[in-house]
Amino acid sequence: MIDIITLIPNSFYASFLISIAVAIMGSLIVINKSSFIAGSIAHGSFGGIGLAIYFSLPILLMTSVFAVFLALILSYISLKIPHRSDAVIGAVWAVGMSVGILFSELTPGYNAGLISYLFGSILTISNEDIYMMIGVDTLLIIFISILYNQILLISYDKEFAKVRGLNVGFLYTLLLVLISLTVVMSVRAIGLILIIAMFTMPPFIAEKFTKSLKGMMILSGILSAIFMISGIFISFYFDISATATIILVATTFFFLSLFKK
Amino acid sequence: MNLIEIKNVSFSYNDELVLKNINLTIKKNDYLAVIGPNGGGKSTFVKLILGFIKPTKGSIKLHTQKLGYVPQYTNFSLDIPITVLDVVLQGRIKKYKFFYNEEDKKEVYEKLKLVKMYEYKDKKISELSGGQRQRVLIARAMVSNPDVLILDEPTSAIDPQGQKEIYDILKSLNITKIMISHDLNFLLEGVNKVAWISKTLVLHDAPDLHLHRKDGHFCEIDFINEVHKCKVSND
Ligand SMILES: Nc1ncnc2c1ncn2[C@@H]1O[C@H](COP(=O)(O)OP(=O)(O)OP(=O)(O)O)[C@@H](O)[C@H]1O
Ligand SMILES: [Mg+2]
Repeated sequence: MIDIITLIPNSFYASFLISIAVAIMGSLIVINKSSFIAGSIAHGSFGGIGLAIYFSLPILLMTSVFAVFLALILSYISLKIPHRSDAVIGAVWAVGMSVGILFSELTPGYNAGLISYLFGSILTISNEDIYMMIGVDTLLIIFISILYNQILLISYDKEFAKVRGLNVGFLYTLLLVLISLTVVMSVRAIGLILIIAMFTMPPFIAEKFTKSLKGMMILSGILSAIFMISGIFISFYFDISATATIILVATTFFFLSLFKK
Repeated sequence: MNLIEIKNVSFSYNDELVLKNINLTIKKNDYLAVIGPNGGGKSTFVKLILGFIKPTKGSIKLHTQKLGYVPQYTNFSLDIPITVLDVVLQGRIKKYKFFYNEEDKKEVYEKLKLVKMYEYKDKKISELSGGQRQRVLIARAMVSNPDVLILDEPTSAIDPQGQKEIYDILKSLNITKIMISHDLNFLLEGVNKVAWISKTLVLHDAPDLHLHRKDGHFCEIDFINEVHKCKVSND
């Protein structure tokens, strides 16, 4: 129990750092209708974790490389064959997971650790995870401060973006690569399986109350922080899984928001 | 002055020949109406001019890079929270231009007044009617001060009153225009060339079409087909 006290600060830092990513990338995922792609990257990254464990490579690094690789494949495919991309997105999802399962099976005695990558464990966040979050958040903030208008345009109307001379392929690929890094930075805290819920529910709610993407980002960041912190408190109080509680808190508000037209 | 020269252009999607041997020259201040049946290749034709797709055969020479475009479907997600002002500002973006300045805003206000949407500038685009939204898109295409304005069925899904407003606005714009449309009744006002596209392109001078008015009204029944037939009989 004494350990928990020293671990609490990291779970709070993680909540805020992840909320920044939810604000920026979550909103972009929602307005681009890319939750399926983001889900594919998140689940597919399990392959990176399996490979890292099997070859005893640094997990965050290996998973980042693997997730970026998936992002590049998905970007290529959804730009080349947009009308059939969902089939490929599903395949990447499954292949990544299979690779992960296969290699972790081949690694004796590691299964316990895998659960935390799948379902997250925000109460046991290490300093290394926090540094990764700070690094990725910094990238995201730089990215959105410079490219806000361009990304908003390609999210809204890709054809018109082309007429204006924007490199739609490059911007879209950059977006997916950043989604993949966001996934990796959140994997220890939220878990591969729950990331998509955490990243899409706050922006979905926020979207109904705002007039601009900027407003949507700010509000979803605030909502995300509230969900995460309150989830952590509730889970302490009832001694239940923190990540699951966070998601259920978010889901409750998500369903309530459905009643707003 | 020739702005666009299209020579012997053919285009196929995979193996399907969609456009065959198209020839057309567009001059400064032309107002070209593009008509034809669904699936005839009209949108493909403007996408070739815009450079979204490349001709399978032939060549398209553009003497300007400044094209304004109003797409066929409002194919964007209406859920994206964005105001009218922010949509029209998009017309000022460029490859290496990341932020908007005061001049951009001034230009946007001016064009919003032109399409009579200035009072709506802070409204969410999703709260507008189809006709209002289309006017916003025309303003967006105009804020870059293009040499050629290309519109793909700007009035589909708009009531007759709204259509008339849009055509009046277009007529008043002093600029080269290429417009796909099915509403010939309005369209003929101000149009000086009509291209019938159904895999091939047949060009009519707009005054020709006026010959087919009956008692001061435009032909009503299957007007589009009649236009095509008339031309064939002229040959
Ligand atoms: N992306 C595509 N891939 C394959 N075939 C296509 C594609 N886009 C259009 N086509 C085909 O090309 C032909 C011409 O389509 P196009 O959209 O240019 O017609 P259109 O004249 O604009 O029709 P409408 O009046 O319905 O808008 C059609 O047969 C269509 O099926
Ligand atoms: Mg069309």
